[in-house]
Amino acid sequence: MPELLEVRDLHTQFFTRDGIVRAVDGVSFTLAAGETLGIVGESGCGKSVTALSLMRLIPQPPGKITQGEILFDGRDVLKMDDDEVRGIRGNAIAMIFQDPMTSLNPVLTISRQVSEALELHLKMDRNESRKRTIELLELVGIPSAKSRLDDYPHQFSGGMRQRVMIAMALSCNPKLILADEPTTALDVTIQAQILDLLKNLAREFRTAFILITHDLGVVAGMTQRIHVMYGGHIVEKADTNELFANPKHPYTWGLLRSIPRLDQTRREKLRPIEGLPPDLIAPPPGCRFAPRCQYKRDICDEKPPELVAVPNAKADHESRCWGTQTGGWLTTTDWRTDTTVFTKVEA
Amino acid sequence: MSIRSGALTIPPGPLVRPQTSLWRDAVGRLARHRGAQVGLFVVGGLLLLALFAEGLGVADPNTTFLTETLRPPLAGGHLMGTDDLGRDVFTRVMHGARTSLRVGVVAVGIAVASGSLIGFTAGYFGRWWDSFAMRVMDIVLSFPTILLAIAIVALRGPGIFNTMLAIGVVAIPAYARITRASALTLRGQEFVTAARSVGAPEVRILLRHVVPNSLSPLIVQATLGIATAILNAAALGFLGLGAQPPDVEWGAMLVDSVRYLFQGSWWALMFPGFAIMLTVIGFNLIGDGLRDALDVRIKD
Repeated sequence: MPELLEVRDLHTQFFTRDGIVRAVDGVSFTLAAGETLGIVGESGCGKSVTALSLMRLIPQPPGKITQGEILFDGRDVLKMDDDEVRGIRGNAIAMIFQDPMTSLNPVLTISRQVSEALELHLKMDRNESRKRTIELLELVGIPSAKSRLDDYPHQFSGGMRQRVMIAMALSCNPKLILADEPTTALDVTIQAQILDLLKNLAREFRTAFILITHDLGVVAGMTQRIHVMYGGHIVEKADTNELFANPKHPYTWGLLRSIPRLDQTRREKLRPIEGLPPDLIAPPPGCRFAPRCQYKRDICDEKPPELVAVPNAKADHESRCWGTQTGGWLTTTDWRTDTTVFTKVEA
Repeated sequence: MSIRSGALTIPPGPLVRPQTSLWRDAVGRLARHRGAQVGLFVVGGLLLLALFAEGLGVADPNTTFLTETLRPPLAGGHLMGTDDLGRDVFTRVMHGARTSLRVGVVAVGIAVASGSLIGFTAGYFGRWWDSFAMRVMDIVLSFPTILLAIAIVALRGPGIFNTMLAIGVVAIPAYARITRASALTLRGQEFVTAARSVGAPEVRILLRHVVPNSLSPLIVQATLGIATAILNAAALGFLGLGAQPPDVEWGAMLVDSVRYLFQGSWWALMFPGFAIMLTVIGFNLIGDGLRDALDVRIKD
C-alpha cells in the first residue's frame, strides 16, 4: 500500500542571533492512509516544528526547512509552489492547535471561522457553508449548534472551543490531521472527552492523524504507533503496545518512569529525568541524550548512534542508542526493576 | 407583599446571556461612559448646528450688515454680535463648524486610509517594505507638524481641499505606526497560523483576521485625530493658509478679529475660539471613552 505521508531526512532550522537552532535534525518517518501516529517528547524537542514543517507553516524568517523531502500522496510538499501548498492546507492536511483560547480569532463568529476552509476549498457559498458548519458542530458534540453559530469564541468554554477547532479541521474531510498537543490546555476531564472525540471521528472518517504530545499517557490508547523525539531526533520508533511493553531507549525509560502509576506503593517516588534538554544550537557531539543518561559509556559522548532495529524485538522497532543495539550493554536491562542510582553527570 | 401569579414564569428561550457582539458591547459601554456622554453631547450639538446653520442664523454667513459692525452679543438680534464687517458671528461660527468637521473628518479619512494601508502591509509582510515605509514615516515625523502642513499648502496653494490634504498627510505616520504595531503582534498570534493552516491566502488573512483585530486602537486614534486635525486647520486658517473666503473657517475668523480685541470687541474672537476649544474637548472625550469602551481587558 502506498504511504500517505513519507518524511525523509527532514531538517528544519531557525537562524537566530545566537546561532543556528537545529530544531528538527534529520527526521524520517512514514504514515499510511488511516494510520495513527503519536509523536512524544518534552518541550523543545522539535515535535511541534516537525508538524508545522509538514504544512510548511514554519515562520520564515527566522525558520527554514533546509533539507529533506515531505512526500504527501507521492508529491513533495517542499517543492510545491505557494498556491499548491495552500490547496493542501485545510483541505488534505488539517491542523489542530494546542491552545483553543488563542487559536480562534476573537472578533469573528464561530460560523465564519469554521466556514473559512469550506469557502476556500469546496467553494461553498455562505448558505451552504452555514448548513455544513451546523452539521460539523453537531458532529463534534456542540449542544444546540444552530443557535451557537453566530456566537463569538469568548462565549465558549475551552473544551467547546477545542471542539470547534476539531470541526474546523474536519470540515474538508482531510486525509491527515495533525493534532499538536490538542489537550494540553484543557482540564483532565475534558482532555479525555476531546481525545475520545478525536479518536472516534478519525476512525469514522478513516482519517490518518498524528498526535503530538509530551504525555505518554495521552498517546497510550490513541495511536497505533509511537515515535519518541529527543533533541531534534527521533530516538525510538515502535508500535504502541511494543513501546510500552519493551521500550528500548533510556529516554523512553525516563519518560515511562515519570508517569505516576496507580499501582505504585506510596513509598515510591516519581523518578524524573535529571538535567535539561540539549542546546540545539550546539548539540552534544555524541548521543544527544548522553549528558542526562545514567547508563552512558564513553562511546555515547563521542559518536552519535544511528536509529537502528532493536535486537530480539518486533519488526519496525527502532532505537537510537549504543547501549540497546546489537552488542550493547543494555540489551537485557529491565528499566522497571533497574534501580541504578543516578550518577550526576556534569552538563 | 403578595406574590403575583405568573411572576415566576421563566421566559421562553434558552437561559443564556443574550447574544452580544464585541462591537455592540462596546457601544453600550460607550453610552455609559461619563466623559463620552459629555463628548457626544458637545459634538452632537455641534453637528446639529453645522447641519442646520442656514435655518438657525442669517441665511448667508458672508452677509455684511454695514451699519451694524462690531455689535456686542445680543445687540440687534445678533446672538454673538457682529464682526468688523458686520457679519453675524453666530452664523459664522455655525458655518465654521461645518468647515471644521468636514476638514477633521476628511483629513483623518485621508490619514487613516493611507496610514493603515502602509502600516498593515509593512507590519504584516515586513522585509524591505517595512524598513522602507517606516523610514519614510520617520522622515515625515521629523518635520514639525504645522511646518510640513504649511509647506504642502505653500506648494499647492491655499484652500479648503489643500488644507485637508496637508493635515491628512501630516497625520499619516501616526496611523501607519499604530497599524504596523498591531499587525506585528497579530501576525505571530496562533489564530493567524491557524488561518494559514486552513489554506487562507495572505491577503485574506490580513483583511479578515489582522485588520478587524486592530480596529480598536485605530478608532480611538482616529477620534482623537479629528481634534488634532481641527486644531491644525485652525492654525493654518489663522496663518491665512487655510480656507479662503467665501469659505468660513474658525482660524480665519480669529485672525480677522484679533486686532479689534484691544478695542473691546472680544466676541468676534472669543466665540470662534470657544468653538474650537469645545470641539477639541468633545472629540478628545469621545476618544477617551472609546479607548475604555473598546478595551476588552477592562470589560465589565
